[in-house]
Amino acid sequence: MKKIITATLLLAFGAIYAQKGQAKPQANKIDNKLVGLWKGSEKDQQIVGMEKRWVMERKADGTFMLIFTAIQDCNIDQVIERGQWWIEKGEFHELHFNSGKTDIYTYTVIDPSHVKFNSKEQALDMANANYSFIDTKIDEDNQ
Amino acid sequence: MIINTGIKVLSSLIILTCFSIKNKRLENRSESLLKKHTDTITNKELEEYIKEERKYLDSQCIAEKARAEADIKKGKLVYFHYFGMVKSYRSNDEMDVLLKQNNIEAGTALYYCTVPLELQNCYEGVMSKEIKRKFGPKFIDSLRHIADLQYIKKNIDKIYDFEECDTISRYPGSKSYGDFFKDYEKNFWKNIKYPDEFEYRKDKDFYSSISAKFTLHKNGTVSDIDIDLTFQNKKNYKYSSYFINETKNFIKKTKWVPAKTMGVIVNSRVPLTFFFK
Repeated sequence: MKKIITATLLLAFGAIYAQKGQAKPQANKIDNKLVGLWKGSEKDQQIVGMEKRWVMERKADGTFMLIFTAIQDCNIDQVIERGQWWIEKGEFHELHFNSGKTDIYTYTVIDPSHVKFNSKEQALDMANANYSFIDTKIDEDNQ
Repeated sequence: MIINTGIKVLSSLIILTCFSIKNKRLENRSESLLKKHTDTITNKELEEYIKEERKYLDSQCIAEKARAEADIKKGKLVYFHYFGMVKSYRSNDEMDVLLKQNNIEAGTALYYCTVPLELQNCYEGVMSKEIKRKFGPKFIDSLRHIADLQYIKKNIDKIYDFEECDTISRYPGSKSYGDFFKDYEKNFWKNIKYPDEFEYRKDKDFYSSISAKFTLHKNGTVSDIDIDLTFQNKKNYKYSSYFINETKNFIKKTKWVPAKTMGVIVNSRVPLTFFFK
């Protein structure tokens, strides 16, 4: 009898331990304050001499679309990027479908229409290691 | 004045004539190019061209060989580092010093994939044979070995590419290099649970994968984990966070075996790829 109890206990603890090792799969989490249509710009931060302007739509389903306009030496280039965004440990993650790479930013919601992002991890090398920008919400009052 | 105007008119006429001839030539060429796609005669033309080219390469090779033999008679020996679609070495600078100590000059040569092997780098070939004859067949390999070790000693803190390192397993418990690739993937998936709503790959779909690259330090610690995630089914991206974190945890928890190059323990980059069901 003793043996049976010991074996049962061992099995039970083993199962609990094994389950502990496995993280429960969860879907990405988002911050609703970041959902919507946003615009922003930066100059010289990624590439010296380049100005970038963008419009980003962050959807509530976690996908995003980013329309980039890059201006350098009187040349204008436009790129559309799509990807997935989520929040993890209070940080904003931006995974680009075309590269499979994720950029990570810390962010501060200044007010409902302005969010400040500070680069933490970038897939691309930046001219400025402390790359930061402010996204402004595009709505009826602010277009 | 009249002579000057005459010269100008004449030169303009010559230029115009040249252009018209050139254009006709171009027309003829474009006609023949069109024919090339339909006619069998062009194959013969091609054969003739190849024959002509071979003749040229032959004569060039003979001249190169003669030049090499003359240089050898003068006591000149040159070892060549090859570039192109051939194995390239990291320790060429160290090798050059060692060659100099043996009165051998160092040069560079290109390997052409479009030229027959026996007709290219003929000077270099004669020199190589002479070095083997004079110093023995293992001489260059032994110098390469020394040069490589010197390079590693100089670059002991460098982060070596995975391919630069010895083919030994980096995964604990794997008996061979081949097992290493199978074992890490097998053990990774042991701890992964697919989300209930995960969309699995269908027969004709491309594979979805998560790739990671990290720095494995000499002391076995890891850093600089870079992850690329590609799902063919975009709906699965909603689990990006979970899969990325699981991959990072697997890399951090594993007691990786530090890489070696030429038997010396070094820092290295390690690439891993996991394919989704």
